[in-house]
Amino acid sequence: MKAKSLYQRRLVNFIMLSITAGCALFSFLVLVMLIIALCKNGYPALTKTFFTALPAPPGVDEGGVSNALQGSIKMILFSALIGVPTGILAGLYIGELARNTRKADFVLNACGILSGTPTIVTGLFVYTLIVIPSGHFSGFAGITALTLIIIPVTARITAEILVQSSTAMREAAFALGASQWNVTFFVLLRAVRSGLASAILLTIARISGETAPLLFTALNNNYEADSLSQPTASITVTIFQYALSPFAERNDIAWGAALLLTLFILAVTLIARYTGKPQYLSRPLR
Amino acid sequence: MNTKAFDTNNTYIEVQNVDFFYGKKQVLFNNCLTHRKNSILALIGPAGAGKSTHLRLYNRLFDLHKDRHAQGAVYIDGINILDQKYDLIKLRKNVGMIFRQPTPFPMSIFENIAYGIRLHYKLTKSTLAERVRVALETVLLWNEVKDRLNGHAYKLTPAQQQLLCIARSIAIDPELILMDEPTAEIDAISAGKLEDLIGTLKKKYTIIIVPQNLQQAARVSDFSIFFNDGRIVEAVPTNQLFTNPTNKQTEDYITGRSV
Ligand SMILES: Nc1ncnc2c1ncn2[C@@H]1O[C@H](COP(=O)(O)OP(=O)(O)O)[C@@H](O)[C@H]1O
Ligand SMILES: [Mg+2]
Repeated sequence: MKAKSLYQRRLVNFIMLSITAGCALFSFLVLVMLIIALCKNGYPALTKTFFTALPAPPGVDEGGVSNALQGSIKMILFSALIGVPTGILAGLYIGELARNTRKADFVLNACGILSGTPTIVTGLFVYTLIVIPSGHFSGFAGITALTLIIIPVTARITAEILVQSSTAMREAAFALGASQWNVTFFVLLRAVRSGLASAILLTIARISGETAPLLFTALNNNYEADSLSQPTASITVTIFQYALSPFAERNDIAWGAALLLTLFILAVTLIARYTGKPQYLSRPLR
Repeated sequence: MNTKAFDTNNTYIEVQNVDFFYGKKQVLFNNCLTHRKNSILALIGPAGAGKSTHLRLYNRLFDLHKDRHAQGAVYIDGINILDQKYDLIKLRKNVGMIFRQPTPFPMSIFENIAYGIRLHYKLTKSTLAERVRVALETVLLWNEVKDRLNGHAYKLTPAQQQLLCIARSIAIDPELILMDEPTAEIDAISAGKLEDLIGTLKKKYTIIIVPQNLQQAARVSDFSIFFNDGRIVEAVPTNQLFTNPTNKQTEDYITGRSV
C-alpha cells in the first residue's frame, strides 16, 4: 500500500516535471530563435550610415535612420519626464495621502482600467484630441500618447508598492512627530525607491516598443523634425513601414532597427532587474 | 500654564474614563489609571485585550486613521492630550514609541537618529553629531557602531536595530516612552540586555510597556495593569500582582500562564 502510493507520487511527479520542463524549454528556444534571427538579419545593417544618415529614397542604398533615432529618444524622454513624476505623485495620493478613502479607490480603479486599455485606443484618442484639431501629425501628439500610457501604470505601481511597505515604519516616523509630507518624501518614498525605480524602467522599456499610438500621432518624417510640432519619425514606426516595403535595403534597415530596439529594451530590463534587487537582503521590508 | 486638573507632584499620567473605537467597534471600555513619573508601568493581559490600542492613546497614533476615535481624557503632566486642539507634533516630541518590530528607516545609522532630531531642533553640524553620539551611548550601541555611522541601518542585527530605534526616540528628549513588546523579535540574550537598559532608562524617563510575557513584566516594571476584553481589571504594584492578586481573572491569567 505504502510502496504503491510512493510509486504513484513519483510517477505523477515525473510527468508534471517533464511537462513543465518541456514548456520552459520551448519558450527558451523561441527566445533563442528570435535573437538568432534578429542578429543574423539585423547585425549587417548596423553600419555607421545606419546611425548617421537620413532615410534614402526607395531603392537607393546608403540610407539610415538618424531621424527616427532622434525622434524616438526625444519622444520617450519627454513623455517619461512628464509622465513619471505625474504618475508618482498620483500614486502617492492614492497610496498614502488619501489612503483607504473612496476618492483614492476611485482613482486607483481608473488607473487600473486605463493601464489595461489597448494602446492603439490611446493613440486613437490622442488622434481625435490633438491631430485632427491641429490638422497634422506631430511629435507633441506622440509624446501625449506615450505620457497617457505611462501615467496610470506608474501611479498604480507607486500606490501598490507604498501600500505594501511597512506600516510599522510609517507609524514610527509619525510617532517621532514628523509631518505627513516629511514621512511621505523622506521615509516612505526612500524606502520604496529601488523597487519604484525598477518598475519605472520597465515601464519605459514597455513604451519604447509602442508602435500603434505613434502611428496615429507622430506618424513619420523622412527628415529630421525641426520641432516637435512636426510629424516625427520613430524607430518603431520605421520598423513597421520598412519591413512591409518591397525594397530589400529597407527590409535590411528594418531588421537592424528591430535588433537595436530589442537590445535597448533588453538592456533597460536588465538594469531594472539590478536596480530592483533589495540592497539589504538581511532584513526584507514588510 | 495653570490648567492642570490635579496635583502633578505625584501623578504624571491620569487616564479618565477612556473608550476607544475602531469604526463602530468599541474595544476599550472606561479605562482609568494613574501613573507616576520615572517609573515603569506594564500593561498585561491576553492577546486581543486592548494593550496595544491603549498604548497608542498616549501619542494619539490612532489619529492616523480617520475611522478611529477615543472618548474620555488622557492627562499627561496635567494637560488633556485627547483635546483636539492639542498640538500633535509637540505631543509626539514628548512621547517616544518603540514597536514590536524594529523600525529603522532606510538610511544610515547616523541619519536615522539625525532625522528625528532635525524634525524638532535646528542644530549646528557638530551639536547634531554630539547629540547622536550621546543617544547611541545611552543605549550602549555607540562602541559597536561608531566606526560605521554612515553604514546602512538595515545591516544591523534586529537587536541592534531595536536599540537604534530607542536611541532615535531619546535623541529628541521625550519625557514618556511607550514600548509595545520591544523584545518580541530579538534573541533572548539581547532581550535580557534590553531589559536591563529599560531599567536604567527610568531614571530619566517615564515608561509604559507592553511586556513580551509575565516574567518580563515582573523583571522590569514597578506597576502593572491587567487588561481583559478592553477593560482594566486590576492595577497594582507589580510585586503584589504575583504574590496576592486580588482579582479572580488576574489570578487565573497569572497561574495559567506563568507555571
Ligand atoms: N485595525 C483594527 N481594526 C479593528 N479592530 C482592531 C484593529 N486592531 C485591533 N483591533 C481589535 O481591538 C482589540 C484589541 O487589540 P489590540 O489592542 O491589538 O490587543 P493586544 O495588543 O492586547 O493584543 C482586538 O479585539 C482586536 O481584534
Ligand atoms: Mg499588541
